[in-house]
Amino acid sequence: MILIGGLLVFLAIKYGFEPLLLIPIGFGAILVNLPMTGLMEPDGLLRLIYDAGIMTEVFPCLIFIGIGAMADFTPILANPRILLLSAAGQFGIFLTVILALLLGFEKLESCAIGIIGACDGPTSIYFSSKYAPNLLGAISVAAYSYMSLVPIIQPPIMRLLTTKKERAIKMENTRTAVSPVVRILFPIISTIFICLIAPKGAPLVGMLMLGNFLKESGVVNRLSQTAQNEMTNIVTLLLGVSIGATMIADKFINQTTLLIFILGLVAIILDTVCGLLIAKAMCFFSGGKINPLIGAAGISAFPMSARVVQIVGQKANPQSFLLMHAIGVNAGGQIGSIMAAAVMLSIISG
Amino acid sequence: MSEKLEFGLILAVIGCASTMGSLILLGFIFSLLNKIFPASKNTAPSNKR
Repeated sequence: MILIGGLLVFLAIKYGFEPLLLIPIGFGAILVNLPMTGLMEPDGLLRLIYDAGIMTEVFPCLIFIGIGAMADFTPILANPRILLLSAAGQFGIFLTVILALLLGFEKLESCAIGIIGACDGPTSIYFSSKYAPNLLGAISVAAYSYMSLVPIIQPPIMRLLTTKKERAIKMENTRTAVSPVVRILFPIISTIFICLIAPKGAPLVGMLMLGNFLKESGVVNRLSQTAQNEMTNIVTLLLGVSIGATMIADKFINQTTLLIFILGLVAIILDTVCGLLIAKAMCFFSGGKINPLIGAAGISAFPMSARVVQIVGQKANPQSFLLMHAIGVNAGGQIGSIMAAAVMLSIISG
Repeated sequence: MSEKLEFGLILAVIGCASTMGSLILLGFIFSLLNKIFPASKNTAPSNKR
């Protein structure tokens, strides 16, 4: 397990794989597996941090305030129709739940595994800490690892499901200006709307939109900056070490962890496939005005997925600029993944 | 197993439909808001704040 912790640290330093998370996770994994330290015993330091931040679900929620304060939802507001693709990018989550159930996982564990497909680390951590704490380490590491592997996972699927002619489609520029009133109303209306539909998702969507509201209100710059920087950095550090502390050898190195990694990969592939297929349908019905590649940005891995779309699109047609369209779909994916998790939480909780 | 599978299928159908439906509705709300509050031509930030 110390070697696995070392591998995570190596991947973060050498290849830049989500270093902000994998460095503390890797170090935490090394630390907790040293003999006779008692760090995860009832009075141990890491147990204290874990119980205070993960078991109470406080850390992922605080991270969401930071993400909300950093996020720019203007591309979605400028072109709200693309939310359709952001929703399609979440279907793989639900399909993976079925696969996990077929492989013998319990209902709640299957839901927690499916959420890896959201490519949204804090949502995965929130969900698994609440419903499958025994799988938290594996799910978190899988979620963050696959987020950084999006540029490797997505392009072959994109090429497989689209023709060169489709990939070469040039999309018209959309307007990017949005009224400040709409930008301020966005977090308030979204919170009320999503919480009314899926009330159990209130901690996730509420904190995300609170962060965004701090930014868009324009009058609490200090709070917005603190949420984006100091608070997010401190919580990320503690969150990473706490997750690493769950990676105890006898609980982590087993067949279940391997299955979680495989299912997580399947979830991301299915999300990408669903997004691309819906985008292909939109391309057909729009008379070829929509490049199907932007459907792949429906997953929540922001902004890697949008960059991948831009690169693959430009390879097919150097004069095609899909980035702004893909960024919109990708930003919508952040809301889509929370919406999917909120719906799942509400269904599970009855 | 059949009970688990039934749960999975119900979750998938309701989950996909709810996610898609709510995001479409949300998109519709913001399309309307864009029409009610159109962006001004000068979008540069004001110095008066």
